[in-house]
Amino acid sequence: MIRVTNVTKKYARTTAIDRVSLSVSDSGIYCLLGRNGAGKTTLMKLLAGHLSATEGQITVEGKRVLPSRMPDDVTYIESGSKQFNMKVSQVIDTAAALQDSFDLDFAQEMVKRFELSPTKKYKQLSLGMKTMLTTIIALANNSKVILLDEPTLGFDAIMRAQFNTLLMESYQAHPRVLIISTHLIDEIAKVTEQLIIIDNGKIMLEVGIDDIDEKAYTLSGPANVVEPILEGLNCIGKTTAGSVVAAHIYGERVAPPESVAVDRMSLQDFFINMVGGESNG
Amino acid sequence: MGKKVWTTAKINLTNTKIPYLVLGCIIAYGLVLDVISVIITVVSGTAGGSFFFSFAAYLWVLVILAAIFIPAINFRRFVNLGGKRETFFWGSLTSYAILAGAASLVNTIFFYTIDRLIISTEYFVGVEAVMRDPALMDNHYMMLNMIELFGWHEHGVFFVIVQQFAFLFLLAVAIHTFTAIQDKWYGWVADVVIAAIISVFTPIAPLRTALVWFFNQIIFHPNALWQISFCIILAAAIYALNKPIFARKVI
Repeated sequence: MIRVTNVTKKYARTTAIDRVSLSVSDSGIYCLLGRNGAGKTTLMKLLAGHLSATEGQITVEGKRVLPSRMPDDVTYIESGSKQFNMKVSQVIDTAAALQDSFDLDFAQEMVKRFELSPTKKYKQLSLGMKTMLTTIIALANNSKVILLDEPTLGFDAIMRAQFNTLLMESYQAHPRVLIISTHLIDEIAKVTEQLIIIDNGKIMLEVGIDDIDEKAYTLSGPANVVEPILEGLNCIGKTTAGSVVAAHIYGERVAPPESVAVDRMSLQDFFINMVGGESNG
Repeated sequence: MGKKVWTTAKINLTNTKIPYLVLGCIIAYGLVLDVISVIITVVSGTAGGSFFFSFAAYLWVLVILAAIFIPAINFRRFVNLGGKRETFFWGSLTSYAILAGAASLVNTIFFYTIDRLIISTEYFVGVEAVMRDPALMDNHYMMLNMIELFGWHEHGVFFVIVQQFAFLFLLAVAIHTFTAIQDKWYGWVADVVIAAIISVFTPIAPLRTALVWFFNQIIFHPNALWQISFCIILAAAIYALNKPIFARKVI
């Protein structure tokens, strides 16, 4: 469905995306994870045809994506995007009038579910409510690919949970490719199936959430015992406290001696170690 | 497509608040100045030395400002609503046709009713009368309406509406296109070219002739049908440039 082949995007002397190749062929909820400035927004804009690649090629459904040839099958909603200052109900009705396959029933139900007052004007909504409205409009669109850039910006914990519900219900109603960029991994992990980690404009890892649960773990114990075990393992980060070391591993499981504890690595720790996992020891 | 285009035009006409606000302020300001002039005239018993701008002619400001705000503000929000660029292209064109038509119709009605009524009083004269006898300005106010200034009234009511519409439509389309390219390098080149045309063409006689020829085609041409056709064809040619411009526009 989406094929990114050796794509580079440069802004003057800065390389925002560096020789990225990526392939998304199945429907699903994908999480594009990266630190601020990692290249998430640039990659999304390239996928939507809002930017042209300096090098390389992007295709969606076999059609080349360029700013002069934006794909109809892709809906991209940028972080903090604004709407006309109309009543919530008018915003929904106008979106329905402008789009061919807008799911008006879904949008109206979600407006009711998330207690967005239909009579309130857009500017009267809180930041979180504004983002929620824009997200509902994007998800009610039946495009084959939906790109949401930092959709939970301004959300409190309850809204983030509601957003996950919205995402799941939308996906169940219309299975397709949903790519959500964020840096709040633990929230999105509840609904996402695939993780794409980007750092410094490069794809670090493209993996299923289940795969991380299976392959990411921490070995802690005396340094003189742990260090030899690490040889041949993919150690993505290390924390040292005195003579004790905690090594974060991503790869095959090993059976260490009893003096070494094996713990499950949280997604948050996995992400931190992947993109900034320098040893402190 | 028709419903989407109409929806886009409706969005443009109802969600471009700043132009309406500016129009309201200009009319209020003009009204205050006019009332002061009338009071001075009534108290002193003398008039003259300045002009009154016909109120409906202020609607031209609305057309000009809308053509700036629609591409600059509305486009991005329109895309956020899931609208397609093609729809925005035709919807905006429809918005300008409606605005130019409405401004032209209302201004024409004012020109033949209220403006005429004001000119019939002893303190006022029309543009044509002042052109014939500039001394009239010494003891009269001039009632200024672009219809008379541009000579469109010479062709009858129908052509007043259509000539004015064609000119306003061209103006809106040109401003829309010019605004749309301001975030590109060629927008800056266009700025420089226009500034150069105005500053270089005006003092040099042969180039000034070219400038005069151009304005004769879009405004002053004695043949109303020619002026209308010229404006519409030029507007279509300029607006066609928006296809590639908006297809490449980054939101």
